[in-house]
Amino acid sequence: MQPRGSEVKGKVVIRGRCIVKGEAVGEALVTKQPFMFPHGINPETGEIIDKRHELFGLNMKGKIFIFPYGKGSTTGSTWILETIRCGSAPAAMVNLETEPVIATGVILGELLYGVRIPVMDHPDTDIFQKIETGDHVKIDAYKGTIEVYK
Amino acid sequence: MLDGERGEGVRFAMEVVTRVGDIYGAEKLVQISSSHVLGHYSSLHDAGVEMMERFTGSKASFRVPTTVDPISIEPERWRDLKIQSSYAEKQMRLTNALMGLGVIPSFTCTPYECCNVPRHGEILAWSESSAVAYVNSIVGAKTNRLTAGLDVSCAITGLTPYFGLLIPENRFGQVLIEVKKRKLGNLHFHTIGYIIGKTVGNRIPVVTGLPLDAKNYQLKGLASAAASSGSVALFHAVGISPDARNVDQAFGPNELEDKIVIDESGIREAEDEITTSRENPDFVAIGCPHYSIPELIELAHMVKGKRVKRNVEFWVYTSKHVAAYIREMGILQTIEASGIRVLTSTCAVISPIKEWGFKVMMTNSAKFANVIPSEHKIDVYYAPLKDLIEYATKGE
Repeated sequence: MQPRGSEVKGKVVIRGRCIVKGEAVGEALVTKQPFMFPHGINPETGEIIDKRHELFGLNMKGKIFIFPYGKGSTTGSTWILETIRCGSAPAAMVNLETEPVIATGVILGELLYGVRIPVMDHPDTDIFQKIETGDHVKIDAYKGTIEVYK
Repeated sequence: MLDGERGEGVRFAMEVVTRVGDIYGAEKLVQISSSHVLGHYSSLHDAGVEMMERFTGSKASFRVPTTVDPISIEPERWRDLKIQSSYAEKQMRLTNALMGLGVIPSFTCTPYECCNVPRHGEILAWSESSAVAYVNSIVGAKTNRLTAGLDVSCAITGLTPYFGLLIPENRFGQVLIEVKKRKLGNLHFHTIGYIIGKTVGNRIPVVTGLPLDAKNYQLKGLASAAASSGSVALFHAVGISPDARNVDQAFGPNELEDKIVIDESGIREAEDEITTSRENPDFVAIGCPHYSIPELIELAHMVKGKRVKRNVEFWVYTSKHVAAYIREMGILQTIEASGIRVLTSTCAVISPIKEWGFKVMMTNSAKFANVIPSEHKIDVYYAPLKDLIEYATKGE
C-alpha cells in the first residue's frame, strides 16, 4: 500500500527544476558517480554494462535513476533514445545538472515513441544523502517535487 | 514552423530545438551558417534510423550546408572488413535518409579542412566533439557541443538555441595552462590535449607556450584529445586562437581559477598512463582525427620501400576527398604498397572491428587510445608514428 501524505513517518519532499515534465513512481537506483550512456548500457535490456561503474550489472529499466550528471560522447542522446525504443528506459531521471545530451534523448523519445520520462535537476537538498537505492520515490515533474518514502 | 505548415518533419525538428532552448534558458533561437551532424549506426541505433527516416519521409530538408561525420562502414570495402550485411544495411538506410535530407556526403570528422569551412565569428550548429573544439578554438567560430538528434533538428530548421558558447561572455578563459616543453613532436600535441581535458573537465583553458608555427593537424590532435579526455569544447591557444592574441584578452573579465604547468615529466607520465599494454600489438591504427594531406605525405615518406609484417594489420583512416587527392599524387599507391590499408569515410571507434579479434592496438592518437578500450575491449599502446612503423615493419 502507498504511504500517504505528511502523516507518514519517513517521507521526505525534495524540490527541483523540471527538465522534462511528467509523473512517475518507482524504486530508486542511486549513484554518486557520473554515468556514461554510450557503451555504458545495453539498450535492449536496460542493464548497466560499464565495468568501471559501481552500478555494473544492475538494471535501470523502470527505476527512478538518480546520478549527478552524464559523461562521455555526445551520442548519449541516441543511446537513451534506443533504450526508450526498446522499452528498457528508467521511469524517471534526477540529476544535479541535466545536460543537453540527456534532455535531447528524452525529448526525442517522447516525440518519436510517445514515452514520457520525467527528468528533474537542481535538487534543493543533497539527494545522495536523502535517497538510497531501493527507496520508493514519486516524481512530479509538473510541480517540481520528489517524494521519498523510506 | 511549430504549427506544422512546413510539414511534420520540420514541426518535429522545431519542437526539439525549442524545447532544448527552453530548458537551457535560451532567450531566442538564432540563425546558423552551417551544421555538421552525426550519422553512424553504431551510436544512432535503430531508433536513429527511424528518426532520420521520419524526417525524410515528411519531405524535410537541411536549410543550411550540412556535412556528416564518419559512418560505421567503409562504403566501398565493408565486405573485405568482415562487416555483416545486416549491419551494413542499417548504416545504408541511415546514409540514404541523410542524403534525402540533402547532406553533403563528407563522412569525415574534419569537415573544416574541406567542404564545410567556417569563418571567425560565425554561428554554427555542429556535433563531433573534436570538430567542435577545433572550430571554436582555432577558427574562432561559435558552436555548442551538440548532441545526436539536436544536430539534425538545427540543420532542418536553420536555427539553434542561443545559449552556452554562443554567448560572448561565456567564452572567456577560466584556467591557465602553461606548456613548459620546447620542441614539441606530433604526439606531444595529443598528449598535451589529453592532460588538458583530464585537468579542466568542462572549464575553458587558456594555453600558453605552444609554438606559433604549430601545424593545423597538430592543433587538431590537441583539440580532439582534450575533447575526448574531458569535455573541452573551447580552448584558447595564446597567439594562435583569433580571440586570444594575449593572456589578458583570453581571460577577459574572468578571474584566474587555477594554473597548471605541463612539463616534460608530466608529458611522459601521461603517455605511460594512456598505454594499457605493450604486449605484441596486432593492430596499428592511425588517422584519428582523419589524416590530412600533409600527414599522409609524411607517412608515405616514412614507409616507402618498407613492408608491414604478416601478423599485423596497419590501417590509416582519412576522408574520401583526401584519398582522391593523394591517389592523384601517387602517395596513396606508395602507402598501399607497404601493406597499409587506407580506409575512407569511417574509423575504428564507430565501426565493428570485433570480428578481427584484435588484442592490442598501437596508435599515435590520444583519442583512439582513450576511447577504444571501452568501446571494443582492446588494449592500447600509445606511441609516436616512427615507433609504430618501426614495430610494424621490423623483420620484413
